[in-house]
Amino acid sequence: MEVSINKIAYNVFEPYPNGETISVSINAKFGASKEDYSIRAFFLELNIDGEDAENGDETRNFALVARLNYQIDKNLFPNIDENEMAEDGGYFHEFLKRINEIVVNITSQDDIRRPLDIDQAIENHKSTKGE
Amino acid sequence: MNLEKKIENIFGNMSNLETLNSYNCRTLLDISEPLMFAINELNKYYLAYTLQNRTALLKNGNKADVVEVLIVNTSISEIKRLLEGQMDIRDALSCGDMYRMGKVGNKVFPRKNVKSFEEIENKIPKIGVRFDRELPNKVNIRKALRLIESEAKIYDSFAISESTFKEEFIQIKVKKLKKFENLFNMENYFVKTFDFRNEEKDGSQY
Repeated sequence: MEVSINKIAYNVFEPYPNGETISVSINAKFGASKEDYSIRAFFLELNIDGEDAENGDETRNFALVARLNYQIDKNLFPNIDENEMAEDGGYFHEFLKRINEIVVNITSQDDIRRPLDIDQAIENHKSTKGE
Repeated sequence: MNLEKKIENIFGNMSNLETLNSYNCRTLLDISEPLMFAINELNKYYLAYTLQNRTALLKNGNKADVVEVLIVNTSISEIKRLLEGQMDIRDALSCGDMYRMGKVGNKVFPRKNVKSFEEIENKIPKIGVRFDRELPNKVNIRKALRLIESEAKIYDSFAISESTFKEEFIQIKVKKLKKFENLFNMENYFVKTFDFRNEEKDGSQY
């Protein structure tokens, strides 16, 4: 399992607001290698935007484009079925965790602003999947 | 981030190209102002062209900035042909599904279809205008193409599902900024989840 960061940007705008509205948007797609279906990837684009809660001015933004590469065991999962899709889901959860670590690490460099953290979104996602 | 939000970022950051690039929006044409952009959402590519960017006098006597952008579906191969000067800018802007989106003052008008080419034909470059040596352009177009192609390479060797596999939107309102070690105080929290099994149809194509 390998995470590749293709693009990352974190812009902070002044001044510090009294309140902030943070929007998180995650777009992801699933891909299988054209030559070997057991080699797979998730492609992800993450955008986080902060707005001043009072006047709507942009406070900061974070953008990331990343890919997760992994390979499933052909013997265990010979067909694309529900079990295999669940296996892919597990990889995706792990991918989101790794991405969140990166987001928190980068946005923690500022000791006044709190880091952007998508962990809660992942937890919520897991709970909807009954894990 | 959906396409509309990315277009809104163009409205708000016409003079801040570095910020625009953060949003996977690359400027292609900049004469006296940024005019044309390539935007992508993962492996989906779009061209955007500034139809108007001016200050207008409103009926009530106030002045307001008016920005309007044309958005067209495209592909990496079309972008390559365009930037290598093999096709007119006009053709590139009219060969896919066309939308327009605008902003007057602080009000953003949502994306709507362009029903006929006549709506926009006088607002885009004339026939024969291409990315060639005669076109004045502040953008290093070779470098732009190289970067776009380089970013697109990560998708090359994969068959990628057509639909977005996961789209999640969370809005968190933070009342007061505190030290980073404090947890978020979430007042509003909304997540649109997905179901892997819904994507099985897409998976079957592999």
